[in-house]
Order: sequence, then C-alpha cells, then structure tokens
Amino acid sequence: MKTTKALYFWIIAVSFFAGLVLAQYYLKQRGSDLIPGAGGEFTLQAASGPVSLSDYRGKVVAIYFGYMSCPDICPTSLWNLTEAVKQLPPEQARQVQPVFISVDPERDSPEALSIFVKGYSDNFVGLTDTKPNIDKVARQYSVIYEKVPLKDSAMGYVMDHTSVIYLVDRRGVLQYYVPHDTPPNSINADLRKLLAG
Amino acid sequence: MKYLALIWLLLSQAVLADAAQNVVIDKPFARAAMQQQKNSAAFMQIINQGQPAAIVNARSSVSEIVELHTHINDNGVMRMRKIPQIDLPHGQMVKLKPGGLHVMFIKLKRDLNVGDMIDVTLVFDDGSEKALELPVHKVMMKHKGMSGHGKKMMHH
Ligand SMILES: [Cu+2]
Repeated sequence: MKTTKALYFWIIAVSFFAGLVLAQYYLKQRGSDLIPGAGGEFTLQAASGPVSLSDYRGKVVAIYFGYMSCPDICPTSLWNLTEAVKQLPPEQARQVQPVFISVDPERDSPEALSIFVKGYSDNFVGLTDTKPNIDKVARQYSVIYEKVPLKDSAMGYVMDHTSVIYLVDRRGVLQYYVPHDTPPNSINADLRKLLAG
Repeated sequence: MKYLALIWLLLSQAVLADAAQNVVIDKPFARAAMQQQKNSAAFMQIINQGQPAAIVNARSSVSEIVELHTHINDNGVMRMRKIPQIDLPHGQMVKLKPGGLHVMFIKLKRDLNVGDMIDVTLVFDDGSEKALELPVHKVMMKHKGMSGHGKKMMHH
C-alpha cells in the first residue's frame, strides 16, 4: 500500500515537472517557430498592381516582413538576404525572388516601397495592402506585428515585428524559416538547397 | 614648490575634465540610407575613463531629429524604443550596435551613401559635448562559422 502511494506521488511529481518544462519550451518558441502547414498563397499590392505568391512558381521566393521607417532591424535583414543572393552564380541568382512586405501601410505606399526595395536589388519586390489583408498573410506565416505609439518620440509610432526571412521553394511551399541575424553565407546555403531541389 | 604646483595642475586637470574629455569613442559608423528611407542609425563603442556619465542627447545635420533608442528582442519580436539616456559607467565599454542601442536619425534631410562622412554631436549629462565624424557603412551580419541555418519546416 505504501509503495503504491509513493508511486502515485512520483508519477504526479514527474508529470508536474514535465509539464513545467514543456510549458517553458513552448513559451520560448513563441514567435520563433512555425506551425506545421504555415505559409501558402497570398495576393498583396505592388506599385504595378496585385502580386501573388503563385506568380513566382518555379522560382525560390524569399519573403521578409518589416517597415520602411525601421532604421536597423529591417535593413540588416534585407542586406543579409541581398548579399546571400549575390553570392550565387548569376543564373541561379535570377531564380530567387526577394519580396519585402510592409506591415505599415499607413506610411509605406506601394509606390514608395517599389523605390525602397530597389536600393537592395533590381528585382526586389515591395508589397503591402490594407491591414485586414496584411493580417491574414501575417497569420499564415506566423508573423507577429503590432503598431505601438511612442510617446515623446518623433517616430510617432513604431511597428514591433518578428524579423524572419521565409524561404519558399519553387512549388510555393514554405521550407525555411531564417531567424534574425543569420549571416549571408548561412542564408546562401539554404537558398542553394532550395535551388537544387 | 615648482613640482607641487605641477602635481596640483595635473590633478586638477583630471578632476575637472568633463565627460566629453573622459569618453573615448571607437569604431563609430552610420548605416547607409537611400531610396525613400527616412530614418537611419549610428553605432559606436564608448569607453568612459572618468566619473560615471551619460549621453542625454545627440544632434546631427543629416536629420531633422536625433533620438537615443534601443531594441528589445522580446521572444523574437523586435521592439524599438526611445530611451532618455545611455549610461556610461566608469571603465566599461558600452556598445551601440545593430539590434541594440543606437543614435537614431529621424526624417533624414539627405541620403546617407556608403563612403559619406557625417557629423554627430553627443551631449553628456554634465552639459559637455563631443563632435564626431562618422563614415557611412552598409551593415550586414559578419560571416560566423558557428551560426545557425534556417530552420527546416516540418511537412506532413
Ligand atoms: Cu531607433
């Protein structure tokens, strides 16, 4: 009888701690992990008109969500991606489509975006849309973003956002999730894998 | 007596030196910004060899407004925030770097092209100022052998 009680105690104790560890793990992964089946088709607005992910079938697509007023996080990511593509042989580089999606349509017009992205590379595409449409794509790709008013700052407001480069294969399937601060050579290695596939 | 006067002079110099004189700035640079980019940032490494001090303001001719900012990485969500000052403890290196503390240029009046030199003046809590000339760089991550790759998606 005594041993059964002890056994129960240990089962409860062990499950409790396992639960704690799992919860901790789950919380840590928030905003840095993708749900299975994330990604998929979308249509957003470019200066030239609507653009869909499926327009780039046959190419590897690299997608980054950010905003033009971002002075640091977004430019670093966009340069890392641009450099990763530049490290490819030219005929392979042409098969990579970089896409910047602005989560700040209040400030970033499709026209301004089309100029902005050309600062990185000639074939970079800049997209945005109404908030509901951006929200839908953000949910699909598990992007977290939030408009935050900044009192006392001339910024007025900032867009807090996850900083991830999403790599989509030639069939339009999201394959890689590249965390912030990943250097160009690592992104380049992932691009090569998708280009070979 | 002569030596005493000299020692006194040296000591008083050290004590009277203001924050701007005690602070050594290393590797300052600003991030390139063009093509409709309205904002940018400057970064540097700072060592304060004197009494604890703080940067409380900054100015530059390149933008309408200059603010002191930091980034908080909240579980992968990047949150940029204005801060009232950047503390400079004695003898410690304070790094303003991409993804962290920065001098923020808001409403740029001109493009910042790679190779340009631009002006930034730091204002310290004792009122002293330090004028800097910084080069404009294109900023990206350095090659790090150990750093991780993209995470592979799991597909069913
Ligand atoms: Cu800032």
